[in-house]
Amino acid sequence: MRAILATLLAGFFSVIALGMLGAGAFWVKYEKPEPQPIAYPHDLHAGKLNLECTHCHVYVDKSQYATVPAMKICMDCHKDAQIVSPEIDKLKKFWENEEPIPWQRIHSVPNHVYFSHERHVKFFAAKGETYKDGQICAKCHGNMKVVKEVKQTRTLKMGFCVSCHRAEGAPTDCWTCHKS
Amino acid sequence: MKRRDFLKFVGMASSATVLASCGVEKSTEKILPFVVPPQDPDYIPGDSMWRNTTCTECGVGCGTSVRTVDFNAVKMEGLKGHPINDGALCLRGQVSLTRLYHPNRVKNPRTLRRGGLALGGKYEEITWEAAYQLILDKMAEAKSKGLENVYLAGNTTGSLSAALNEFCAATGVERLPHYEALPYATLREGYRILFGQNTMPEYKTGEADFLLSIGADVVETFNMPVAQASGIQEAREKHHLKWVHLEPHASMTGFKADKQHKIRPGGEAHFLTYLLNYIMESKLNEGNLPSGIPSISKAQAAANTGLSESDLEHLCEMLAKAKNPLLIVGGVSTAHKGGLNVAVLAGLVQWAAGMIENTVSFSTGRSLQGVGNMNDMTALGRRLQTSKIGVLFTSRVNPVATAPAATGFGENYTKAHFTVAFAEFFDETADMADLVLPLSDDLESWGDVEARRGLLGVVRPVIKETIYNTRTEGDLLLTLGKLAQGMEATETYEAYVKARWAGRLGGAEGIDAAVAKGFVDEKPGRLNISLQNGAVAGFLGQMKMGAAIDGPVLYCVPSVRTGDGRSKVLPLTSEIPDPLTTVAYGGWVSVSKASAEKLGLQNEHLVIKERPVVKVEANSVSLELPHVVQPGLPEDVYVVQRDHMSTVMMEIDPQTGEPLGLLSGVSVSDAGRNEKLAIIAGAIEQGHRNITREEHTHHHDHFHGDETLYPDPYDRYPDYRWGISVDMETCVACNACVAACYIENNIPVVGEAEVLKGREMAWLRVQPYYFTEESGEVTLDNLVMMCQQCDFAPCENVCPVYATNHDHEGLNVMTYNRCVGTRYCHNNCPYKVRRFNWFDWTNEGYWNGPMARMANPDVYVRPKGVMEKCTFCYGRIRVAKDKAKDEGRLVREGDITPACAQTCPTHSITFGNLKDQESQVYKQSQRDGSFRALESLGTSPGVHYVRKPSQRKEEHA
Repeated sequence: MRAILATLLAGFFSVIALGMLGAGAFWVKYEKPEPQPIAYPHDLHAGKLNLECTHCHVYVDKSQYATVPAMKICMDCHKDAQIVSPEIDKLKKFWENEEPIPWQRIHSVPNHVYFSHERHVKFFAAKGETYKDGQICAKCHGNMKVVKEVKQTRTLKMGFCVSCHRAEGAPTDCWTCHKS
Repeated sequence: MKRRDFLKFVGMASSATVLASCGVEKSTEKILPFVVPPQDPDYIPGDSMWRNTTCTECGVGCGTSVRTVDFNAVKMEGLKGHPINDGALCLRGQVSLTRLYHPNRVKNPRTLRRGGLALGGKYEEITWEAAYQLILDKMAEAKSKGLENVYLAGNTTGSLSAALNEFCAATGVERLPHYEALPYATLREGYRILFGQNTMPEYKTGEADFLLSIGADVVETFNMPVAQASGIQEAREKHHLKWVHLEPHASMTGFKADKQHKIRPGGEAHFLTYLLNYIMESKLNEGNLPSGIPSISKAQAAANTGLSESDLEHLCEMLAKAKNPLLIVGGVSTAHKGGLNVAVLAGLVQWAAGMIENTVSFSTGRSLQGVGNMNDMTALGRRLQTSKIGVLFTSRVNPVATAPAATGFGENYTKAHFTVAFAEFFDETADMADLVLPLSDDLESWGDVEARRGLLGVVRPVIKETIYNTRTEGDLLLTLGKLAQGMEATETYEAYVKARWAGRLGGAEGIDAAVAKGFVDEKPGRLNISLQNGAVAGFLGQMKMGAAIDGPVLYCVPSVRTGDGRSKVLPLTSEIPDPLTTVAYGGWVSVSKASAEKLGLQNEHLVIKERPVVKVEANSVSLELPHVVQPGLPEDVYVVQRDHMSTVMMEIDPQTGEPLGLLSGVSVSDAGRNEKLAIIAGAIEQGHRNITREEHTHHHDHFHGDETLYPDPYDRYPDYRWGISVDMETCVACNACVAACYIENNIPVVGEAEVLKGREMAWLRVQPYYFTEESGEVTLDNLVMMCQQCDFAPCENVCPVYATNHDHEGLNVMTYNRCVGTRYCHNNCPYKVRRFNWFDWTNEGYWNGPMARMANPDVYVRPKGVMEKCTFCYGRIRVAKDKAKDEGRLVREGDITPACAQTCPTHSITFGNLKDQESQVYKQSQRDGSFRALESLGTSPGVHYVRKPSQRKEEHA
């Protein structure tokens, strides 16, 4: 009887231990972001230098895609700015080799979703909101003026979308967002 | 284990699972931004850029506008304002986009070691440099042996023709007459004798008030089908066109004419002679007719044509009454041994009735002067046979498979010293060639086409770089010419073409304007066409008119899906069913009902995709194909499409070099077995259902205040209720809409095996329904069937997961990622418009490899296990709504055109907002004769059909 109990207990705790291990592995796999090829500081560019979001994300109010800026946009400033940093050296190396920087994607919606940055930015801009902290972009991306490394701070799942659509009186028909 | 422990265990395990399944999934995707952004001023990521070019799928030269998104071509549309097609595009034009991305294209230059595969020989991929060197060596070798190097290409016009001439002059290569599988040889010879014009005119159907077509399938493949179909629609509106069609068999054109008569095979010349006699007697002849026109009595004409005397008289009167008549003769009526008589007599009628340069315009005629005929091929075959040919170049043609055996070309092809094929695909000719050089698609190339006099069609690349290691034909010629050191060559063909344009269009500005517009219409002056009396009298003097043919005949006709056969390589042209029989894959022989009964062919099981095989034998032909009963086909007339018999079997008209499409003395028998045949339609008659001729239950005010206890569905729609109206009178069932729908909506091609299981994926189909009228005449209603977007949709109620439901614009919305694939909706849909994804076409099969670049990014590529259906092109609705929002207004009439309506040559499909009583679609829905399919079911569809006038009640009353 004792032996059976011991086995059961051991089994029980080993299951818990396995679960914890699993959770750990899950965190590594799902939560911890992959390092970016260049440690680009949003807090410096958007925060300290106070550049408008559209300075680099030029298509955010023109296209459904905000787009990660073309490297030429980086180099327009950095070829003159006399800043010495190992990260900028990396950037210059990519530029010299004419290689695109393989950024790690952080925010994404599934393929079956139609999401237009242009539509959303224009909507909030029409309400008088701006790119300043807590306003337009921050609704989905968090306040980028204070983060060093970009992390996903909203779920960007359907519930998140629909709650905002309801609050703002936007359409909630399926094909508003689901691709036909 | 105790029960309690078990529960604990399960509880642990499940909570761990729950834990593991929540949280944000981390993306491992990379984003690769541009190093330097594209310089194109109209480039916006994810948005459409339109590039105007010219369709080269056939020789007509329609203007096209190609939609590119992020530098991938995703859709091709007719170019609005183009003098030939004005926005419309045929099935083949739509499908031709798949040519660009086809995974089976020739990807590298390749040699085949002589001795071929049979002797264990191997294909070898070589570099371009080696290929050029090989050609030069072989050309020199041939010259030293005293052999002639020759160049055989498909119809070549514009700059390419000039480059070819320069190449030939520099290298001593002989340029042969162009090879076309459908050369219009008889008609061109007729026009040459009559007017000295060795070409096809433009038939201006749009200006006619009476159209008499004989044998020519004017809305399918004949001459310029899109332009002719558009013109017929235009003339119906503007000039109250009456259209009568005479044919010996049964074609879609015949069913679409206002009135069709059957004529006996070979009886066309008698009918035309009777017309000429009538014209002379009634002194209608505006141009002096030459002497020597045979006379024919009414009784003789009636006997030889099979038309009644009153019909003959009536037709003559109609011609006499018409202000702007048009006679079009061709197709099966000139593709027989007396074809040249028919062509000349028809030209005389056109001359006498004042059609020449009025409705039959040589001034805007096609550029077919360089096209040869099968007699030219016979001459080439003889030269090959006697080993006189050194290097034989073939470009863009497949004569081994399409030239009749009598030419001796295929048989002797390998007797050339060295054969070089310029090809996009491996076909019968390229497979046998010693060297195959891959050609770039015209969507990857610079060039131009002069498909008709004075109309320069710009050909330009629409994507950034070629998909495979290919070159344009122009570049090949320039490089070879330069290497042979005989030719002052420009660096690239692009520069060559632009240098030529610069002179013609007025420098760089002119070029930019032409490239932006896609074509330059130089509006050439009128040609002075006159009848060559001497030549005509000479022809008439020796003309022998044979009697009409008795006994069984077989017609070999081109198909609207593949034209002269070159589009057959594109799988979508096989997946889209034949409009008359709904056969998708495979060949068949069309048999009349009477003949089928006589032969004792069993046709009980219409739904089963299997048909008894018949054996058709004539002099040179032997075929065994399943049969399909074609309503409206006269007894003893059999029809097979050229694609499904080896054209090699065809005979040649020695007078004109036309491959003959009429075989007489045919014997047909039951082969005694059945074969699978991919027929889409379960039935081609409506039985008791009477879908297209249901009694009027349609209230004119049905949108508001239909007598029902339920609330008005339109109250649910605040701004829009999208609707479509299809005009069944003007629709010519060309199936261009079906092709457009396939391309626009990322619909996969599933192949014959799946179609045989009834798993075709078309969102839109053109359903033929045949009727036998009280007069005995067989008529055809074509129901363009897509999702009807019902107000009370039966599919919505049965979905267990709410994956399909109704939105606030009247649309029945399908949410793919919610669908679990129960297929209840499919079961409950009375229109059979829902399609199920039995397989994953996203990563394997159709959307694999380069094809993925063709996918429309606005439309999801559906995964396995989900339902799909027509969405009224919601991607386009969304674009229009976005634009309207930007401009702070509602969507207006004309902002949205679904793919099907956009490509329709006859504007039979109208899209719009049914809530707007000023909209075209609302007005169409209120027209007399408007009905909705299966209206009695109470589904309240958003699609209206407009009945043919003959079916409208008020006209009968």
